[in-house]
Amino acid sequence: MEVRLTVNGRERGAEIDPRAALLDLLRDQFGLTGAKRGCERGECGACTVLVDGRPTLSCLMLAVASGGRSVTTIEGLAEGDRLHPLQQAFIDHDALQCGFCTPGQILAAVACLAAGRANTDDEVREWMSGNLCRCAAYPQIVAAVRAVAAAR
Amino acid sequence: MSAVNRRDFLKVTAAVGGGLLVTINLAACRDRGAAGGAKAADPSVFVRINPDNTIVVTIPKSEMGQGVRTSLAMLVAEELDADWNQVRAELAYYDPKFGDMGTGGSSSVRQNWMPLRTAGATLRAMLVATAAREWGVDPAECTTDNSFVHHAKGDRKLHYGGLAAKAASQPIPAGVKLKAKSEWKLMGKDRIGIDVGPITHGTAQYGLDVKVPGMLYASIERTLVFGGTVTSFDKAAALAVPGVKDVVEIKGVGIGVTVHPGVAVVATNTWAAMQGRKALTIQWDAGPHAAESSESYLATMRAAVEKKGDETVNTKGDPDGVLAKSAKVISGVFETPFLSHATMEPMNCTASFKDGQVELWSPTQYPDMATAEVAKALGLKPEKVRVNLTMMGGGFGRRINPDFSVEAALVSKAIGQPVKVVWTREDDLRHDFYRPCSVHRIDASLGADGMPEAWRHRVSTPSIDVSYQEKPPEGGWGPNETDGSANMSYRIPNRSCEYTLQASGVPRGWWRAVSTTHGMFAVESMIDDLAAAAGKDPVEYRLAMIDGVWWKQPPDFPEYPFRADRLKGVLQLAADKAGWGKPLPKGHAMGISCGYDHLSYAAEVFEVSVVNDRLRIHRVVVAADAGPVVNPNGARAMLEGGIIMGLSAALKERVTIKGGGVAQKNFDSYSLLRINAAPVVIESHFVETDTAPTGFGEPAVPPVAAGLANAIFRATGKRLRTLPLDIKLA
Amino acid sequence: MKIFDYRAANSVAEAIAAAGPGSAFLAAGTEVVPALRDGLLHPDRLIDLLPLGLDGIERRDDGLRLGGLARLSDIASHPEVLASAPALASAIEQSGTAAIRSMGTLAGNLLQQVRCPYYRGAAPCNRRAPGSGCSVARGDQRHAALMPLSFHCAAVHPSDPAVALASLDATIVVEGRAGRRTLSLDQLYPAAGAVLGVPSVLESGDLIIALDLPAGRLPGRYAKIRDRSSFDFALVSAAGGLRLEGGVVVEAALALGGIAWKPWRCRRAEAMLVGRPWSADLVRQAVAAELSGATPLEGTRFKVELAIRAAATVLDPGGPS
Repeated sequence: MEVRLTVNGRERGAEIDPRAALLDLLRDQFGLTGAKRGCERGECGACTVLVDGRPTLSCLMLAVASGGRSVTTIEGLAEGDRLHPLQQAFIDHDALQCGFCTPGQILAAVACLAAGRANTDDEVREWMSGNLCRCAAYPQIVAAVRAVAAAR
Repeated sequence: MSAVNRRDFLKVTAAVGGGLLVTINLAACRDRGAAGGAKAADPSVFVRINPDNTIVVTIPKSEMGQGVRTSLAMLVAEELDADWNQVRAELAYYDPKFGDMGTGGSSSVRQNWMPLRTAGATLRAMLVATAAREWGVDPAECTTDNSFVHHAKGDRKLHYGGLAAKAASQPIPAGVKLKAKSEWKLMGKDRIGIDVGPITHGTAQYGLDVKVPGMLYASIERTLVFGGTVTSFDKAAALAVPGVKDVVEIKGVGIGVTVHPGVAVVATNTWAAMQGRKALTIQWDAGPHAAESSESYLATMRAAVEKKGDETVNTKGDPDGVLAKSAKVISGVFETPFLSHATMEPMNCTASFKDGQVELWSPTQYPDMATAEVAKALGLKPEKVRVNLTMMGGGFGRRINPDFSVEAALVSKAIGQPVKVVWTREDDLRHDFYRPCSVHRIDASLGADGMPEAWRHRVSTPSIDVSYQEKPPEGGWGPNETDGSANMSYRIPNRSCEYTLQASGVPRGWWRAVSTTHGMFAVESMIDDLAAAAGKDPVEYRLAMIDGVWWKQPPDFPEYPFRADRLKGVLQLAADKAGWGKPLPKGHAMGISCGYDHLSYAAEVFEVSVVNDRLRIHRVVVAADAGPVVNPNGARAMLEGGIIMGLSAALKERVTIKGGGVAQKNFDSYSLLRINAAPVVIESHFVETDTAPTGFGEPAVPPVAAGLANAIFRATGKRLRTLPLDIKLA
Repeated sequence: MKIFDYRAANSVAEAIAAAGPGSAFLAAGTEVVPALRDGLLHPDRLIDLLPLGLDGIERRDDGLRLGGLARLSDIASHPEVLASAPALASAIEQSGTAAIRSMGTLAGNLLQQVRCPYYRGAAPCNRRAPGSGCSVARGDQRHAALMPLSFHCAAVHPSDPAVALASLDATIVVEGRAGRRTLSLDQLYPAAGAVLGVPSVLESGDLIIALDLPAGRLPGRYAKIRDRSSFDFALVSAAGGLRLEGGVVVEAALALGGIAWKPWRCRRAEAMLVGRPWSADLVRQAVAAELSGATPLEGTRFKVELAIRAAATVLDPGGPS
């Protein structure tokens, strides 16, 4: 099937099997490999992207269902050279080790802030609990999200 | 501080495009291989200074989140007096000239401590000599800072990038002096990871992200029963799936590699490959292990520790005799399950076979082994195999195994095209190399002073080594399996450790910190029980008993002898920082444990409360000694990550074997500790003993389970001896 | 996964007309996509409802109307919901993960299949393979029902919001081939003793277009007891609240989750509470009486005590409101 959508501000189209996930479309067809394939069951959060601003597990969304929608991946988060404050905070707080889960963590954190749910450490910890980090950079992730929240 | 006096240590040449290229002979000064003893002919690593002043260090180790690219680059940059902002780290490919590229055992900083610092210092001397000649001054009047050579008197300075090409023709100085710790500018201070930029931009290329021209994707249905084989298969339905190009059988590769027999479906995209795989019909022969289960292992291991072990790993005095005569024997049986590494990036590898050569892009921790095994499996000479390292989404020991590299090479050879073999989470969880399950039994008796008089520790596990070799290593299967058990560091006049091998078809491997993860759980829990029985404080009790070891040191590391003062040092520091013995909030209790793992020392205190059978971890304090700390920020990340991974194992993780295969499939059944359950406060402290550094990657993991169990014991009076601990988090 | 015909629905009528034997509705995909992959669903046609909107949350004279496709997170953060139905907001906040709450729709949540490990595994399961048997009797019962649907299925309904909605007397607006009808939450799920457990009584072409929360109900609270502290289904949960006058209970609402194939509205317990002076013991007796009809499997007996504990939390007049 043909699907047309906006990815990181750019209109894109692709021919895709109706059974494939948005994650497949992004990674294999558009070469946007920032969203990671971690579990394909919505358990790990590594594939998190924003669809019309909503945090979305791209492994659980059919690619065809993204037609007409606007998708933001980690590659499209910065505005030109200007990093998104959360990207900068993850750098400043070294909130990552291997970094495989990081794009998903950052996009989940963007949504956490947008939802106004970063007022306490516990709120962040609850909100971010869908994103696994096996290296367990958890203390730094909480610190990074809280730092951006505090600066607002 | 120390001087290296080997003229043949460095080779310096002009680099293509200007600049200077340094070849470091690692064999000449690696801490292990003495000259001539190194297995590689010309092990070397490269440092490149470009005309634009960037300095590129090729890191001969695998980056999997442990920060090795940052810390190894720091070793060079410190002695070079480089501008840290201009230092880049480059991924390596496998070449024997790099020396041992295996990344594990918390060894990277230890192995590269002398060579990389010496390289930096030597280069610096050459750049200084070049500048001095240019100015016509005495090199002794020159200083360096931030990639500049300065001449104070003349108020002149020159950039490294501009000097590099000329420096290449300088003679290589011998006997350069390395900085004393007090002279460090970069090291010992917090540095953010060198790769945070590409990672936070989503542009870092992990193995899973590799794309090479003409590449196809493969997904493999492997035997779900370990030891099973393919009897026959029907590929018609798979081939009918749009996008599927080919279906090929994968013959298993046995011991030492463990590629599971299966059928690979190759397609134009990941998704089609997976669909094709689901459409396969395969007839399996279940093989010899189909009746095995976690219960069956447990039953035989439990029986094994009730009698004398098949191997006596070591013995001192007469523990059996003393225990037989003792009026009161204190016993504990400890049980731990198989564990999975569960790296966030599932296994994968890209391979391109063409004209009798194969190139791989592999997220491997051990390209040396991958190269050798790929060559063997494909019938090639090792020089016909090129393994490029990629970024890795976690390793923890899983990626030492060459199975995924060999698999990809086999598929590529079979189809004659480049291919990426993608593992699903289910594949990854069900075809791991698992931390062995274990049963430990410790019997001990106390003397009149309350100190242990006898200690007999019996261990039974499916050995890791069995997955890699048919005959036991010298000294039997026991010594490696009882790391943390047989070599525990308490002075007890009569003690022994016995070992009985458990047969199992489950592939076993090295899980972060390896055997100490279960051995130390048993030992440190038992020591706490003995302290309680003696009515003594657990910290005082340990301090009174920690002693120089009486068993033979592993021959590999005579330079790093066990030192009782260092273990006592971290124990005391952790207790002091935690406020051990001081009043706690109502309902709170502390537990402590300590240990020696991979040549480093760690002690941990857990402050917990248990309300309505629900556990809360309020605070964790860790003190560690791995010598001087190169990057405190990275070292803290390793300690905190190690503790949380240890907690995840202590509270949640269990691989269950049913019908000879793994029962768990995904993170819903193999559950990991999530951010909301991770302790809020982890305080890391260092003891920086003035000695050559070891590593922080593993030593924080093994004390966790016992430290937590000890805290729960002190909070509730209940001693939990089975992992994962039977307690729910609040 | 079998190939299917994907259709984006442009109107409710079109969605209903497109439905038929072998079709399935798709909303966020958090339930349907894994089911497709696992072979639990194999539709010929998948009708995507998200283009319909139907996600409004509006105040009406007689209460609140929640669009059937309203996203869970939008409901939980809506001021009107927080004001008049905090139990629902709390139930949503305690379910799934942030991303799943943000994607998932209300109707999809009510219609999700059971999480019983046997339904999702290969062991016998009447729900997945009718006639194959139910593995719970001799298997893991920790997450099984205290009050099973029938001899054939002992799975529990996994939804948190459904429990809160049951306590709030929510009604469900269904549009179908025969036009519009309303159901109580109790009517949405099969009657006790039904032979097999389809998730709901809805038929092909039936579409939940809205849920109505009547005005004037007790706002209530939600308490969830689970094994994991986050991202786990309830062992037992309770929603509800009460109103006292001079220490006497004059109004009570209670629904329990994790004990049956549907959210369990505790009418009998409520009747026992009303008119009596509140005490912790009264709550215990009322919940015990409510559950006295259960003939639990050995491995689910512990849930009686958990249910009492969860109910006590929401029916504690001194507790946080």
